[in-house]
Amino acid sequence: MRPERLPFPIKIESELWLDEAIWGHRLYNEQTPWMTLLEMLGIAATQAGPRRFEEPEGYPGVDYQPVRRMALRSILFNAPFLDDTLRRHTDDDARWDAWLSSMKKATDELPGEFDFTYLRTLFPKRPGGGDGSFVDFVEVVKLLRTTAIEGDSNKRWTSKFVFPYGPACLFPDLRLVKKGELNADRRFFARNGELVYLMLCRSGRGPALDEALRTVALNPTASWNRLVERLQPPAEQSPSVGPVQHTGYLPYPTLPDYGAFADDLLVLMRLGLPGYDVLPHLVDMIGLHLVLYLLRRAAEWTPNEGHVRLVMEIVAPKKTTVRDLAVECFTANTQRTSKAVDAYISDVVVRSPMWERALAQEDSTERWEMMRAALSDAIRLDAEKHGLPTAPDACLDEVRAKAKRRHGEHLGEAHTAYAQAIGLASRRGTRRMRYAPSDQLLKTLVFTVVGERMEFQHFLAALFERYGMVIGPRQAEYLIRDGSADRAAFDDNAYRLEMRLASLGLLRRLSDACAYVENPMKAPK
Amino acid sequence: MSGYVRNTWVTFLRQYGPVADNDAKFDEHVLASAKRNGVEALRLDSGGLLEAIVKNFRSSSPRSVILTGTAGDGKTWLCREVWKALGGESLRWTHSDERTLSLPGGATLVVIKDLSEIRAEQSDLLPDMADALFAVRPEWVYLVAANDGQLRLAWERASRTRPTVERAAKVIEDLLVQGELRAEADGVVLYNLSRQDSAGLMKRLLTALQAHEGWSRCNGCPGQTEGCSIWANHERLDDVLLQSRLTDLLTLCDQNGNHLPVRQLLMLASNMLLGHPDGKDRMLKCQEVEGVVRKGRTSLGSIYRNAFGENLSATLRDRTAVFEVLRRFGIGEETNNAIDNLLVYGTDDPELRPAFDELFGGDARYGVHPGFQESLDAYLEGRDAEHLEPFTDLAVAQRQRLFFTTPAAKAETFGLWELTVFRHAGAFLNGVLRPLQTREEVTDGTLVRQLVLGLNRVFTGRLTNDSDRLWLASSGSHSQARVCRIYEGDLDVEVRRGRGISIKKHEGKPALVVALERGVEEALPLHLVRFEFLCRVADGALPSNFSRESYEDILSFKSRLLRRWKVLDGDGDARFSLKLLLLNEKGGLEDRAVRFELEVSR
Repeated sequence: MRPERLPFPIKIESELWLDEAIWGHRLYNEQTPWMTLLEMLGIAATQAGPRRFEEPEGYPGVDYQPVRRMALRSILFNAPFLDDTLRRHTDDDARWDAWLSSMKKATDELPGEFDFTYLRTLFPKRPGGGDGSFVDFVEVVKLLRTTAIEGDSNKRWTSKFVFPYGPACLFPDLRLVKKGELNADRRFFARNGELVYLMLCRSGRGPALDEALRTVALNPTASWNRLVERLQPPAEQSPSVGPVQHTGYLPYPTLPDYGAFADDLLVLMRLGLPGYDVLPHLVDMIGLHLVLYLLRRAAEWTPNEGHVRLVMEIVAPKKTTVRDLAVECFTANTQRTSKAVDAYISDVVVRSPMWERALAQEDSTERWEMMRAALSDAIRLDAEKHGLPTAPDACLDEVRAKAKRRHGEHLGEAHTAYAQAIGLASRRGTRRMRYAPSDQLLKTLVFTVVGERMEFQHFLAALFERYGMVIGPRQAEYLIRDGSADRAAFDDNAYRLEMRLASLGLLRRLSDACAYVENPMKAPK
Repeated sequence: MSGYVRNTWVTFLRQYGPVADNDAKFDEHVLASAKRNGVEALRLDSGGLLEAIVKNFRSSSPRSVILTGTAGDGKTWLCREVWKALGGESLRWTHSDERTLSLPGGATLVVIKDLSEIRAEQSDLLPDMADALFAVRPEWVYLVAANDGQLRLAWERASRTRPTVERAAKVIEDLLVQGELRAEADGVVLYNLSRQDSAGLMKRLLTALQAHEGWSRCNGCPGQTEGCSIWANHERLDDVLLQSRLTDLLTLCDQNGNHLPVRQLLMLASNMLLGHPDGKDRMLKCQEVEGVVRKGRTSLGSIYRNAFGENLSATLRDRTAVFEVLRRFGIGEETNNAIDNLLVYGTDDPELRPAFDELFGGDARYGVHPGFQESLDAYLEGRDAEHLEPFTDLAVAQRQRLFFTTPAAKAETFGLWELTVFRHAGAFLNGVLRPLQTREEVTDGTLVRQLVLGLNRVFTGRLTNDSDRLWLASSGSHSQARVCRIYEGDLDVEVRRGRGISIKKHEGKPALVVALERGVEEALPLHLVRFEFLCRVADGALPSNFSRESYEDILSFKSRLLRRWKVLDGDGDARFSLKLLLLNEKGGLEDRAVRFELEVSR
């Protein structure tokens, strides 16, 4: 059973609409789960309309207007002369003057005028001398640089991001096209965040999400947020800076997955972790739900491949059956999305009335017209423009090859990219990628799934029911029955998890036969 | 034959050893074997449990009793003892499925010696029992034995025919999770035999074992003087020092959550006495002893090696819980320079000689035995001698022996606990566990400071020497970051006006307790692994290199502390002061404010 899908958007700029028809426009492998979170928060902070996480009737998506915050970004990411200024000058005023003049040059390429003198009121002179106010400014900038998201990467400065302390820290990925012109860049903000935002809008948990996020990453009065805000000139706080943007296409108006996704995020946010500690866990959950979304939508097109399962190896010191099965499962899942693309062509193009009529058509010109119409209808492909062969079989072969090539470049890589980014999959101890959870992800899972405590077998069952994770023998029943593995191998796997959770302080063992997973952050007060 | 005695008591003792798969029906099996061999089975003291349970059932308002624990904890045995003490007939115990007794208070006792024998989800047993738990004067009371997994599962699956079932299931699970030896609620008392103190259990077991009349049957056997390892081990097992080291290990196992049930302890005792690689099943029988003595291989039956299952095959050893757990201490493999120098050069070096003689010389059987010197010479000269036991193997045996024989007065000098993986286990035993047996709180402040130093290094990611205050820090965005440069708070170690840090009992268990305010506490339960981790970090080990999991574990504690801290601080948004945490030249931590004016209008 395939869930209901919305009609395609009217205006489509893509030359082929196939990955997008199944998964939406769009999920992109190069956008990490962290970037997805940032993009999503940016939309939440600047969404048009009265309420966050609320989509107008008819699922049209939402408008939002990201603030570009070029002054802030210049200070943090385009001013490599900070240390130099400090070294060359000893007098506080001289330092400020030198820095301000360097900044003039640094912002020369950007549209608009920049004057950073307001910073001197933020960092007032110290009474009685001592270190000057410039030193304090340097400390703040350095701190924000060290906490920047993926800050140590060598991305260009317009693709670096401040940690999301609050709304004043959110801005979009940009590209300096030429002097005086900035464009939205779709490489790291490739719309994953838009799709996640829409999923959450459609989860039916909008108001709860809004309320929970307000205290976590969208709180305008949070200390750090106010500090970052004050690093920016007043004019930039008006949301008029960037152009209005519209979210991409999310094909499914409703899915039970949306509700489950939102619930997981809500549970995490309500744990009351100190400061911003919940954010990495939210990132893990976003990544996990994107992986599941990719695979489950693919599974709807490939029913013969069975349910989506993630066979997880709890890393063992040496090669085990479970490792082999985890590798196999990972590989099969990676191929699943490309099989779905193939199935889409077979089901939607080949079985369309128009294509069938084309095949029955004797006249070759008529037939070609019908084929063109069928392709344009189903996957928005202009057969003429792409010079496809007019013989139906050859034409289809070409379409399939084209679709697969395109799929392989980005969406086909997304499963691996997201799974690796959140520590769901790794190559640890072997050369082949497989599902093998990291300590951090295990923590996230315990925080999400376990209330105060949960019997270990129930925990395994819950991971299976929610995420299709196969760890213990009961979940691996289907593999044991068909002879791929013996019970003992999965017993050992579960035992390894038990031991690992115990040393992480997340599990209490009563005996060999009885253990409870405990959520340390939910421990009774 | 020179007339070595065949002692049936020794034959009987083999039953307890790691010989056969003796899992199911162990209790019945042992009884039969005792009868066959014409000896009295071991009578163990239950440490007051039996008496307490019997007293309950004899009282005017008895409560139901659940005996739980893991396989081998002696649940069936205790059930039977209660049955006998209440006047139940032995024959009915063995041959009948209906085990009921009228109690003095008027109620009828139903004994279920193994819950797994009953298809609980189909019978009315659990609903009836549930009713009884909440009745004011129940007609029926129960004595049920079940291992903890089965107990939980049976109640989970019990048909919810009556409202009491759900309630009872919850009550029993709560009692189970408390993890106490005795827990009670409503009309039920739950004894979790897995929470018995293994050290105490072992002491009682050794007393009963050594005092058994069966040993008198060895009298007159020439083996007693000629080098029978069984007899030698029997004599050495009385050694107070050996017993205390053994029970120390068991105490540490308990603390680490590796409980050893009584059946495993019996296995250990039996193997310590009888173990020898030349015996059938690697355990000696009386008739094999003479051959071993003739070949001069007595030393391989050393009680100190047997304690770690050295006589067994590696597979069997790994499969047997007690050896698997004891071997985690790495005793034999771990060492220090002082000990190894003594072992290798002690015989030749006049400076080392006195210490060598004290530790090794006096023991011609398991210490410097005839093969030892020969093997050492071969080792020093770099010769391969095929007929000799390699010196490296002998050294393992000697370190194991040392662990049990180094006098308490010399323990510090020779670094006794450095013979184990847990180098700070001695400090944990003497500094934490022992004091807390008699007091609520550890008064010696040095240990607290050492742990605080470890915490500071984990919490800040800096190699600080500061142990006067506990420092809380974050990276500004994340409290779990490897290196944290932002000051979040600090707390003096000294306890003053309800604030401070101490090692004391928390919910009955040893813990490092951080009191942020009077009555506002966050506790880190201390077990051996955590203690060792923090001490090693305090000694200079890098936190995430030493043990990633322990590191994450301690970071969780930091999370909990910070969460408390922030709640106490209230909504700090109004006055934001940013402080950097700096490491000064002396390795101390200090905070320095970064100044800015958020409130100035512009």
